[in-house]
Amino acid sequence: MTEVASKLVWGDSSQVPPFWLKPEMLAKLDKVVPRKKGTGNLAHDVVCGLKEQVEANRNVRLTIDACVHCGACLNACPTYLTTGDIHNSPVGRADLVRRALRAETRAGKWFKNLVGAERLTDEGARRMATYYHQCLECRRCGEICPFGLDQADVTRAVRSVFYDNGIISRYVGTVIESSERTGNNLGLPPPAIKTTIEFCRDEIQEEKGFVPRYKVDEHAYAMLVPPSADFFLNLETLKGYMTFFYLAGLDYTFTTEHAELGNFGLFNDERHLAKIGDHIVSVARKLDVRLVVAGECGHGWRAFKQYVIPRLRENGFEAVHVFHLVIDAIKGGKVTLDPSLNGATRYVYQDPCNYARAADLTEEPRFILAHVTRDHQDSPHSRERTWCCGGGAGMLTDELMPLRLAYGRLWYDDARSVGGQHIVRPCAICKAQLNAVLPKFNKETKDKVAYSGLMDLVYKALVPPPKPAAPASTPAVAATPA
Amino acid sequence: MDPIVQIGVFLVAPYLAVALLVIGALYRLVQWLRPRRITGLRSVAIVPYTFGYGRVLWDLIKRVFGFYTLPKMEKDRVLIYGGMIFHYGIWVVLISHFGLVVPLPLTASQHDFVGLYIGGTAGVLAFVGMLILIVRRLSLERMRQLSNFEDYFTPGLLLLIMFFGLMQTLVIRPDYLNTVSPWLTSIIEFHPNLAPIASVGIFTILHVLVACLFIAYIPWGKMVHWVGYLFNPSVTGPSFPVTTEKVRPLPGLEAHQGGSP
Ligand code: SF4
Ligand code: SF4
Ligand code: SF4
Repeated sequence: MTEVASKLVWGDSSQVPPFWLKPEMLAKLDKVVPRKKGTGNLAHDVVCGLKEQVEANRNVRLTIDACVHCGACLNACPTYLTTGDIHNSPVGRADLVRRALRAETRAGKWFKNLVGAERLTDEGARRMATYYHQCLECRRCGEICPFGLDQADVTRAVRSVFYDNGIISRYVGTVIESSERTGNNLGLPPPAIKTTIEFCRDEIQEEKGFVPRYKVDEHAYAMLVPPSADFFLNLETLKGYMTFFYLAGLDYTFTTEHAELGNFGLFNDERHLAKIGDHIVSVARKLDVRLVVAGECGHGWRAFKQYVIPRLRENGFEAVHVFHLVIDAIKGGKVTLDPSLNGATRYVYQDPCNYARAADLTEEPRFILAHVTRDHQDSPHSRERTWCCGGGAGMLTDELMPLRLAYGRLWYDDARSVGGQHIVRPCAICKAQLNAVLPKFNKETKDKVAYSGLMDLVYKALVPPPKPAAPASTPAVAATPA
Repeated sequence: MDPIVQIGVFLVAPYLAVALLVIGALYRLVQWLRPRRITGLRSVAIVPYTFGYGRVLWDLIKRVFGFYTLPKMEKDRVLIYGGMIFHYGIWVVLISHFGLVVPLPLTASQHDFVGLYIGGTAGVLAFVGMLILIVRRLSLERMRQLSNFEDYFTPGLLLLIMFFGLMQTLVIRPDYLNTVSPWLTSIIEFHPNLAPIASVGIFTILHVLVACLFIAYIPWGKMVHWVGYLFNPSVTGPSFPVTTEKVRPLPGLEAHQGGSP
């Protein structure tokens, strides 16, 4: 792609760092999760932090220790395949850490480069930070590595070390701050959220002929937690939830206190991951719901499934993804779907990487897609082989656009290779990334590939019952994978 | 044979190598088990739908014997075939070494036959597989970029061991059963007897010497890979299922009369 070629030099992506968070904003984050303070000597403090991570986190330790440098992960990593920079690769990134740590050992001091040791300098530390902020945390490397070495986890650990040293992507830091202050990434105030919901209610009335019931910040059986982008950018997805819940007859409430499934703590720092995740538990307790339902968001679902659900269960709540409920409703005959309402378009399903490689959600969306569209198929790289959208792990920011365009080429070419006219990616960041890069790609290829989430298609396919639906009292059928 | 060589190679080296192996293995074990905090996430399983230890075990078996992850993405055929040929070969070679110390119900000529044809074939396969991997590392730019000294040292050492071993198995064909076998058994039983190997040839000496060096090195470098991942939570930590089972029946809204809430 010409736009990419003009900004990104093949073989050296270090020229595209993210903007870093300003100290004033860091101070705000400090108030929520105080950072560990070092000596002020960057290289020294980073090495100390890395040592601590390796000592404390078994995943990171094993990934540093057991790599055989076979290079299999190079063929899998979108960031390496599209930039050709060995340091922007799973094994290459980890080697930056390995070399710095080895330089601290006796063997490293004696034999230096011979044992792959290289003393970290301040400049080297900044370079390391740049490369670690170019990883999508998509886990494609972990999937192909014969030893399952999870470089995405190392990325999070290393970013956490840099965060302690005041280096964090401006975008990620700002979003974390917003999420902790307002309960959602976009900083939407409650009235704005309510207005959007009302707007969607009116649209549903116009388009479907009925007015969906819903609650906001009230006690209900279930609490719906969509990503905040669904209250702003992805209104079709929001309409999908509202229509589905209404027709399935489920008593649910929105929450304006935590109107966010996304959790940018996952990208950068487990302390913030926990802080943001725990807030969902406290809102569930406050509204006294029994069930928490996650909306469409890849990384959000990973953080929710792997961190929040165990916390919710410890506190007596249950939680599912909205797809689980849709499957139940389909299998139980509680909703009527007409796939022809989504037209004769060829829909290509592309798994959000966090669903497929990190949080067990690959069969469910396919089951639903098969019921809401006529012409649907998998992308050539699907399920655990899926390509990340190119905007994951906090890369969804303008200054990284050259990388986002480079990374995104992979799924775009994939979709077109099977004649895809419409890409389905049920993930808020995927959708935001596609929203930004698809027009550019389409312009170059003169194609017209469209995109959407999955609940958007559910919305279109949902057929209102001839008369008001009966209250749901029949037990639904198991939401096992199709 | 010079007594210093005899004692050095056939007595000191094996015990020293095993001592370093044990110390290194314990050291690694402590390092791998000490990190308590696996990660903030409850499950870090990479393989989707890894619910339960049965599934994890199956995944491990597929990894060890099938190398099943390698062909999943953009394929690197040279790595897949080179890796497979080498590993399958080396396993058979290692297993056939047990024949030197475990009494088998075989006659001397049957022993010789098995050693020559099965051990020899496996050895050649392992040797060729290793050569493929080394040539791959040297010929691909990306592999040269990421390789350090150890990445050449380990395969180089293995290549040497296999070369010396193959020279004996295929070319020299010494009388193992009355030389190496009793010596190795005596070493394992902690009653070292160096008499049987007093007149073994140079390739046996070199084979044992380099093998001892390799054994000592195993826990200190990337040779830990074959045990390391058994401790890796991304591989061995199962996930947990999420279903609607526990929340059924799902109570509905009281009425569907329409109207705003
Ligand atoms: S997580 Fe994805 S982007 Fe990061 S190193 Fe692995 S494959 Fe590459
Ligand atoms: S695939 Fe695994 S072992 Fe091979 S280089 Fe990559 S991280 Fe290391
Ligand atoms: S945005 Fe989607 S594809 Fe990209 S990292 Fe997140 S889940 Fe993966």
